[in-house]
Amino acid sequence: MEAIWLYQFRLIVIGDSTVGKSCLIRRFTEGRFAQVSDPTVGVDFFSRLVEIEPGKRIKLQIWDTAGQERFRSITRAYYRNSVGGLLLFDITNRRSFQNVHEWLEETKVHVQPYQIVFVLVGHKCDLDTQRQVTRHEAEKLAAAYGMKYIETSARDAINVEKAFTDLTRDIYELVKRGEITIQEGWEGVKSGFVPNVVHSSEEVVKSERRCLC
Amino acid sequence: MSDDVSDGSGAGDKAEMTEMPNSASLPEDTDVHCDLATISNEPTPVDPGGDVLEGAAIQDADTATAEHPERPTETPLNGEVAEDTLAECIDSVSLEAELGSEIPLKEQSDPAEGSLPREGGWAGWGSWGKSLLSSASATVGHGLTAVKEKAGATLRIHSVNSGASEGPQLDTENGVPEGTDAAPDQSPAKSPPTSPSPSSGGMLSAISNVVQNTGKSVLTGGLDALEFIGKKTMNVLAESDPGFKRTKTLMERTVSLSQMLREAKEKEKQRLAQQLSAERTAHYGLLFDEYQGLSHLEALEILSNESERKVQSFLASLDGEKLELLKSDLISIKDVFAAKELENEENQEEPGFEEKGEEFASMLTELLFELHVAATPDKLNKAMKKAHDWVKEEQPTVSVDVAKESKGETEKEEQEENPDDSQEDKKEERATKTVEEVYLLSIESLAEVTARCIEQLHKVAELILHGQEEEKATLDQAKVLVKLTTAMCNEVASLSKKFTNSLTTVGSNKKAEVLNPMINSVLLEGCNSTTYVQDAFQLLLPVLQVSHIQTSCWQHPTSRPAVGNHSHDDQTRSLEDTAGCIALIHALEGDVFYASLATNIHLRTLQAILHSVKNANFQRVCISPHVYVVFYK
Repeated sequence: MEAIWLYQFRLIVIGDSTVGKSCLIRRFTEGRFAQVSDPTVGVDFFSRLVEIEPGKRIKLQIWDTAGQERFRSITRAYYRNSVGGLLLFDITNRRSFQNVHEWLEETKVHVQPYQIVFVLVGHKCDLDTQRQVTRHEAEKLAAAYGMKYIETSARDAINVEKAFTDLTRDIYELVKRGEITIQEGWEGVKSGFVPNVVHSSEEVVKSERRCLC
Repeated sequence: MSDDVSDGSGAGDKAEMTEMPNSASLPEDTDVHCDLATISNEPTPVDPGGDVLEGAAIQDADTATAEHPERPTETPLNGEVAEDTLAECIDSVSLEAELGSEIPLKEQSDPAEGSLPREGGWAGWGSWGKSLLSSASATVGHGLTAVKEKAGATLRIHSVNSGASEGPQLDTENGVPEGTDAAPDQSPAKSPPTSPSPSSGGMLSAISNVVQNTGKSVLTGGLDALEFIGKKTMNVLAESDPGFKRTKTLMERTVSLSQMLREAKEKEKQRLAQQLSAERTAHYGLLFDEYQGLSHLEALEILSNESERKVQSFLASLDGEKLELLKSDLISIKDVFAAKELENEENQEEPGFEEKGEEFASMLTELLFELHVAATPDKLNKAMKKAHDWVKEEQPTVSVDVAKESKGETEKEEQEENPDDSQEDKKEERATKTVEEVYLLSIESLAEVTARCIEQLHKVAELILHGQEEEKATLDQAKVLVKLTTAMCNEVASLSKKFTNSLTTVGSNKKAEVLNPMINSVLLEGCNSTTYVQDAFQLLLPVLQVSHIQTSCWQHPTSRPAVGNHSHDDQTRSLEDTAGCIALIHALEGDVFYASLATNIHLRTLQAILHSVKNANFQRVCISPHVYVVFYK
């Protein structure tokens, strides 16, 4: 049975093919690492609850996109309804890092008029010996775009939780501050509901545009 | 300060929000407007971000509509035709030509009395999803009102029927099978129930008998039974069954299918949260979402809407003979889809209804192979197998149980000795399933299988759109997709029949008040499931049409679109996808052109375009992995 959540955030995971998007998500949602993973076709879906504060749960609906170029025209149709995103590159694959800029440009065009809060993820950090991208340059790039940077490994389960929960917290803060608002026709943030027992007086919905027609 | 949802206002807001027809929440407003324009001549809100081509599309479509000789005869929108109008919404998008032929057929099922109106009334549900998707609120609102009235009338007919024919016999068991007679015409033709039905389950067997028909007749049968059982049950059902809510919601809303299902799910969750200590019950909507059915449906809607927009803008860029040629191509694809829909409404009997799980699996694989898309049916097959397995394992128990029961051993606890539960996590407990467990499993299986069917159709859409190496003629793909959808629906219907049989036998010693709502709920969700699959299938139409345009049109220089009023100044445009390529063709008339395109599809498409304007004088075509730059002098 589905647990109760305060908000639902839709996150999109993008990046070149074979950087490990599906593996990262599977580690996060299923707690396991798949040695063999088929290339994603179009988009796949995962979800998980995250407790950002005691009693405050947020449901993450994760859209796992195909990294393959050939699916690009399809996957970009899916960007629009996401509030957050993980932009992955493979630290052992310099090319995937160089393409980060392009991914950002592409999403920028396709999410308008909305915005996506991105975190830059340097994946496969367990393969440090084969590293082709230094942490420093990745951090620099992330900063240039106002993103956080984090290095993860799905295989060794390093920073996987942190990557998702930090992003979730950041979005939650923005929602709390009203910088991101729930809007009709946009699936990025959905408000859940709180049952009677969990009810507390400070939990007041700060919603707009809910006309009572 | 916190913006958490407080309980009081949260619940209130939720309700208000869901009462509101939020057509704005359709993923792509623009498509909707385009479609509407062909139906009504209302001013069309132009998407601020939309490009000029769409405006042109609207105009073109309007012109086409006006020109068409068949249109005027259809225009009077009285209550009778309203339902057809509803279905017509999408049809009239750009391809009005064959509408006329469709209408009379549908109207045949609209006489005002007999059991047919029931069919007609419910048949409307089959097409609502796509109609809502591609038509805007005003027109749909009209259609829906009419449908609503019709549904109301239908329900009244039901109560009259049941009052007259079934009422007097209520007190005897013989009266029970009468419920079957009240079901649609084809039901008497069905074979008697094959499963052993204890006498106390007479009524249930009568119902499950009806279930042997697929789709709407199941629903009708279920409703007859509901009338028979009484209004109270109906209300109880309505409370506990998101699927039923969907039907009700249907009458009031104009939103997309995924949206509606989402709302139903939210409401259900809300309701659940309020009864905190309630024992575990089955919730189709929640489970369907848990299996990501909603997400796949929504993603499919996004693709469908986007494809529709592309088709429109491409059509708008054509004229004369080329337009007619392409239109007739697109119409022939559409006809395949329309035929499928008619078949859904008129002929519920399918050959091979009793397929085994394995047969379905191999058929599925074969059909996907035939489609020439690299989709694998693993997940769907697995879900199907899981469902068939547990219900199969129920069967031996059931016969044992019945045998025992005939000896007077009616205790439910004695239904032991059934094989290990197929649910992996229950391997160790060899206990017999209770009626409640069978019910839960039934609902869960239906939700899972349906979600997987929709996922499969979504994957197919993605693969068709991205363009396979070896293209199969789109028309043939459409035909294969019809087969695929039919196979899925048959399988779902067959499952729900098995589930109700299982419920009937396992719960033979239960009181009707306990068992009937469960059986009805399974019937209803089974019927809804097939409807979802069919609705999802209809979403594939624009996808196939775009695919057809992509594969055929740009390979023939003759279909090069006519060029509109484009300035001969230098043009710089950032392009995307097909629509972008159309713009590219236009822009090529300019002196210098810059295009930034991504993805492989464009390499091929671009080559086709360049080929089609080969008389032009290109200075340079520079292609980097993600950017194609075309300088044209």
